[in-house]
Amino acid sequence: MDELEAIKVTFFQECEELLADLEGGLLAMQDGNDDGDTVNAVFRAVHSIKGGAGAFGLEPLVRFAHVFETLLDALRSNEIPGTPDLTALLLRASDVLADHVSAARGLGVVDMDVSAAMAAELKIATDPNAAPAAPAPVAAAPVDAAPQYVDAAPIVIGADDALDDDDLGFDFQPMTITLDAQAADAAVLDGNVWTVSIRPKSDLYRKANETALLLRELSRLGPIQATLDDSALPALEFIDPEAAYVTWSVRLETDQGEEAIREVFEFVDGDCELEITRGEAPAADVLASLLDVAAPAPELAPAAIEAPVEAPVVAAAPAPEPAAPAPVSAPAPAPVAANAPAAPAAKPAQIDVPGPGQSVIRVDPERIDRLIDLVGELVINQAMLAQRVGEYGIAPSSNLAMGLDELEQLTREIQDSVMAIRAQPVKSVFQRMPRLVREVANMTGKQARLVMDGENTEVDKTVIERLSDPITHMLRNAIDHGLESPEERKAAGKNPEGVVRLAALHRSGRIVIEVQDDGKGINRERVHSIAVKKGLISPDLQLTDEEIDNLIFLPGFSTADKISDVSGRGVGMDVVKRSVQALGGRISIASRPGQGSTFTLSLPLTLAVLDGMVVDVAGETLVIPLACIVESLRPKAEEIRPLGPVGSVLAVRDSFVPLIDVGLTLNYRDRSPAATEGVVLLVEGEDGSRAALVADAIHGQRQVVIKSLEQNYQQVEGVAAATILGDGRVALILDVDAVINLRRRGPPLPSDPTLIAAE
Amino acid sequence: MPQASSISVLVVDDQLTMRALIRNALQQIGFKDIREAPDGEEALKNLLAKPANLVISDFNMPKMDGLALLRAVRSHPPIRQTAFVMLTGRADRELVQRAVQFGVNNYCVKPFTVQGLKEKIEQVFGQLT
Repeated sequence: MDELEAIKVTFFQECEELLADLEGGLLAMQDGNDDGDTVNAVFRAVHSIKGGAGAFGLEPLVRFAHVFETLLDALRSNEIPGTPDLTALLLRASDVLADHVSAARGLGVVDMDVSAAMAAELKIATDPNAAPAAPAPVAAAPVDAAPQYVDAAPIVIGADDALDDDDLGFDFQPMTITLDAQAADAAVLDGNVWTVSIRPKSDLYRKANETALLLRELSRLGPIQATLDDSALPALEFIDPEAAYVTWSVRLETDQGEEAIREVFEFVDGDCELEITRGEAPAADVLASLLDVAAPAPELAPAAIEAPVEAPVVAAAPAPEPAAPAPVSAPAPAPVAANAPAAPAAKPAQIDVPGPGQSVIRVDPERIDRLIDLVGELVINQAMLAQRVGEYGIAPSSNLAMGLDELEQLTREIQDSVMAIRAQPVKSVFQRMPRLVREVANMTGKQARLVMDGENTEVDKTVIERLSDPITHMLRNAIDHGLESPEERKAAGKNPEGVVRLAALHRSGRIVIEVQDDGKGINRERVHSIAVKKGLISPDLQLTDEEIDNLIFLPGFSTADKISDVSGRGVGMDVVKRSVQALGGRISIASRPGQGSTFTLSLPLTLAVLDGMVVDVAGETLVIPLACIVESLRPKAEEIRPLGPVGSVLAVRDSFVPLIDVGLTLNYRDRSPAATEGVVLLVEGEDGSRAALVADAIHGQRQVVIKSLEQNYQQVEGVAAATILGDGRVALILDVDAVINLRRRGPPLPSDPTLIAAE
Repeated sequence: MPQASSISVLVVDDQLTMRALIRNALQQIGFKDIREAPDGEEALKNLLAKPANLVISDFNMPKMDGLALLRAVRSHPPIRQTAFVMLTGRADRELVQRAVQFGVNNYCVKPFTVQGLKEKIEQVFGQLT
């Protein structure tokens, strides 16, 4: 039973994938992509869930899946037409199916009324004529009445209607075979199979010889299978009619020796390259030709269905239909017509043939995490070693130093490779969102269409896991607060259906998630007055539009007059913001009245390593993320202009950027040294704002392993995380945006909205 | 009477769960040498690398379905004698008819029990010990 329990775990894992496939397929159908493959994939997903569920006796799931599958089967076989309404129904049904799977897994309950009603809808959609006279839920009741999931012993494998084998309507006789017969056949083949490779030269054709004749001669020795390789054949306009391009590979079964085979080619000796080997051709070649044989949909012409078992007929037929099935009972003498040049059995496609056993490996994520930790340690150790070597004054050109350089290179490659293992497309998070949007839209009476972009953007698994909550919240917010009701939208001259766009992209070494709606935008007047009313800001504070928009991230802010079902689940945007910040991320909102709002969330691609610049500030060693640094420069005195009582700006080419002494901002020192004595790093913040950070010295670029400061110490303003340097010392990693803002706004007050707004 | 343990089997199904269940059933019957493939193409690679005595294959699979696999197996002499049992979701007359044309040895309608599967295999190889 243990093993079956393990299979059950597998089943539920597989269900997740199948449900994702199902939804993905349905969404593709919604976008008008309803070719047979898509519909079949959708059908297969539901069918497979049902099959597995049947094996484990998960009755309610089986029953619902069955009704669902029946409808999909009708759709698949074009008994009913696909319509947008039907796809919408199928999408809702897939949500119910997902609930059934969760319930079967013990992770929730199914609302049986909803399930029964859905089952009834599906039945009606399958067969409108059979619409029950009785009210729908009653009609469905027998099917979905059993609310309990009881573990039943698996009795059957796969599940479907209880159909008998006898239902076929024709007499089926199993075809017997014995192991001995198999072995004998193999033994016969063993010694008698030859692979003949023929590569004609142009001379062969010039002397009026013809490969078809050679193949016919070969077939006199025994059954042949010929494969034409035309991969060297150029495009028609480049063909030299006198040249030879094609080659043949012939599999020949014969009890005659090599001499007899060579004799066939007696007259073309020297006009073609000939290779005769005993045994089968390399598996890759065979596979390519067999894939070709199997590739065309095996729709048999009626004649073929009636075809006798004996195959020689086929050999004489001029039909180019490649390989007619060679029946087991009668090894066909010549499946390929020897006299027909038009009968190349198969063109070997350029197929990448991996060796047997190559497949996907499922690995416990903990093992990968452990590997990443170890690689992190390796990076630190390597850095330490390099530093020691430097301290001993060993020349960079020495073998030791060069060896170390190579080690660094390798370490980096290992690190990249390991990180790549853990990188996943954000799809896994995104694919849960269409359902969310449907549900929230239903609940709030809005019409919303979700458009997703950049689902294949890859990001570290640890980051992926934490994307789900903020995205969920942003989407809820966009629909609940952003989109107007269909009536309002119509009145405003908009499409009643609102569009919410969810996008992922890479930007300057971070992943950016955008949630954009085309709703009414933020009502700034209202937001401002609420913030004042709740005492979050002082009434006379002058705020820019952007700053007002970002007030919604203040703790204790909620625009909903009453907490709505949807957005107000006790979690405000402030909590989202804090959890995002804890990951080294940022969240902001931009809004245009009447046109909608855009939430932008950015997170580091990985929480494990960072490319940074190591600098000295007031005797402290700091790391500045390389992704933020635009350039480093040594300013001249005339480029520095005072601004206000304490501030100053630096002229960089055509613009002025604020000059920020990192030491002063982080309270390492009370007064700044002259900027001309230090080094200036021109940095760019998340929002594109630039600043010139003053440091005392630059030590160079290094890859550092991020150690969380919160986990090991506590959060520090202006500091993103910590790391361990090559010499073993701890260095802080600068949060550039925070430093810019700290400086821009002066020392922060806990509830200073402008700080939060600009962050 | 052939011994189940001396018959090598290749299970072809796109569902991991289904493969695991069939493997489990085959083990109960007494089979030892059991391999798996997720679709027809992988199955073909597998068979070319190492032939099997018996293929138990699902019909509806992505890439290459069971019928195409059967057709390919039968067209390649070194593996043409492989016993082939097709699994079908329902008693589909047309499907089984085509499978017969391609030389299927037997078919088995899901759902099936361990005993049912055993009988289907025995109809091909004779009673198993």
